[in-house]
Amino acid sequence: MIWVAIAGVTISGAFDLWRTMRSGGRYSTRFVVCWLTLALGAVFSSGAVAHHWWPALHPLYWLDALFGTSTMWMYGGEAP
Amino acid sequence: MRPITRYQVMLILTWTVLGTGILTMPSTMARFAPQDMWMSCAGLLVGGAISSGVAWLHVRMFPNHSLTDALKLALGPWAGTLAAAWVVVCLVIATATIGREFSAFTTTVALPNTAEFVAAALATGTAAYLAHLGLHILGRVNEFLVPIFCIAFPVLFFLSLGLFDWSPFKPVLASGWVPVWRSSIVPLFVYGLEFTLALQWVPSLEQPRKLPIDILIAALASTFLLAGIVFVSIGALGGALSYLNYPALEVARAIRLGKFIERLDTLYGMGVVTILVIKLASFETALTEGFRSLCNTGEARRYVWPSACFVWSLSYFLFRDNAEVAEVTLYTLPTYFAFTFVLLPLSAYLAMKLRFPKTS
Repeated sequence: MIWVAIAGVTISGAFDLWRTMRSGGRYSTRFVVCWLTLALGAVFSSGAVAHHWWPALHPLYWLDALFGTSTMWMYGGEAP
Repeated sequence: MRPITRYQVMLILTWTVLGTGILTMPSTMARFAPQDMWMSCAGLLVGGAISSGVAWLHVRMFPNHSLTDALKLALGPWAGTLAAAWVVVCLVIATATIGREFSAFTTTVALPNTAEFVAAALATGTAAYLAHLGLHILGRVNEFLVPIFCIAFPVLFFLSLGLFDWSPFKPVLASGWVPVWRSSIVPLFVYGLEFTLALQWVPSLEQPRKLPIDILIAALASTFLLAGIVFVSIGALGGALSYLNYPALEVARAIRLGKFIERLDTLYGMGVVTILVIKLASFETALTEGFRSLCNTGEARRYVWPSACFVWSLSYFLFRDNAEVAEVTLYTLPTYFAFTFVLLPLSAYLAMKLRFPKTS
């Protein structure tokens, strides 16, 4: 699945790049950076990397660290 | 780009909030107050009112800009881009959550022998196609679905009244107001704040100034529908409610009329799948508008397919199973959404007021 996702991101990006170049348009650096981020995001989505080897890579690890305590405070400090 | 009408905005918002709302909201609410959770439905209306307040400020200060554009204008190129990126990341995570809920639902209910990622690929692909066609097409799809839901929803509602019993409601407020408050946190801070998604569509609206009213009307309609579903679920399922993942589905499954009419859960399942795809598509349009704003490009459409692929794979990366989705929805998303969709825009509007007192 992950390879299909990476291929999807890459192929659609390449197609868009080709279409823009063909029409004489110009690509911004940020646009290319965005594509690379999406492709890298798809790579990291392989899951095993984050779940088993490096938990800090998992976005929810950080979200929980940032917002978990305040949400628990909303519940009155008790886990239901 | 064709602008979308107020009626279409209200419809998209209603189905967007109810998409996963009717699927998971009753079960998350039932964890805290299975008897009194019908009162917690008001949380959705309060959340809608907060969203409407944020939208009121937004359309007064930025009548032609999306939320991500507004953040960049108000906070400047560095802080503004960072804030816009924060909103985009939040939209990515929210879309991945919806995708995961969709695949968990379809494989549990309808396609037990199909791999979850295949079901999710079909939904994400359909949603991406809708987003690719544009927001006004999404609006027209919603208009097309209204008569079907106007028939299906009352039919399921009235047939399920045959299973209804008043005893699960008594005694009212036996454990006080605290469980009711806890039960209303998810409708208020997660689903209620999803109405702010419309801020990303402001450049495509026919009458952006009316957006706060449209959000309020959509919040009222959503609360009414949710209350109906919750009310019937409590009456039909009673104490079993807190142990079920999809209570409304169980109610629809239990409906029997005579010898031949049964298994109406198929109808419910089809409805939920349809509005989940609509919800995915509306989040996808908001997300691609965010990418367009971040990258300073003219067209949001080019981001549709790559972001769909990304969200599809991310939904499996983020959540191993449905239990993780429920945990994040309960313990992380309330303050994450409150920060992203309320505090961040409000601080940007304040910064705009301080930086440009005459223009804002």
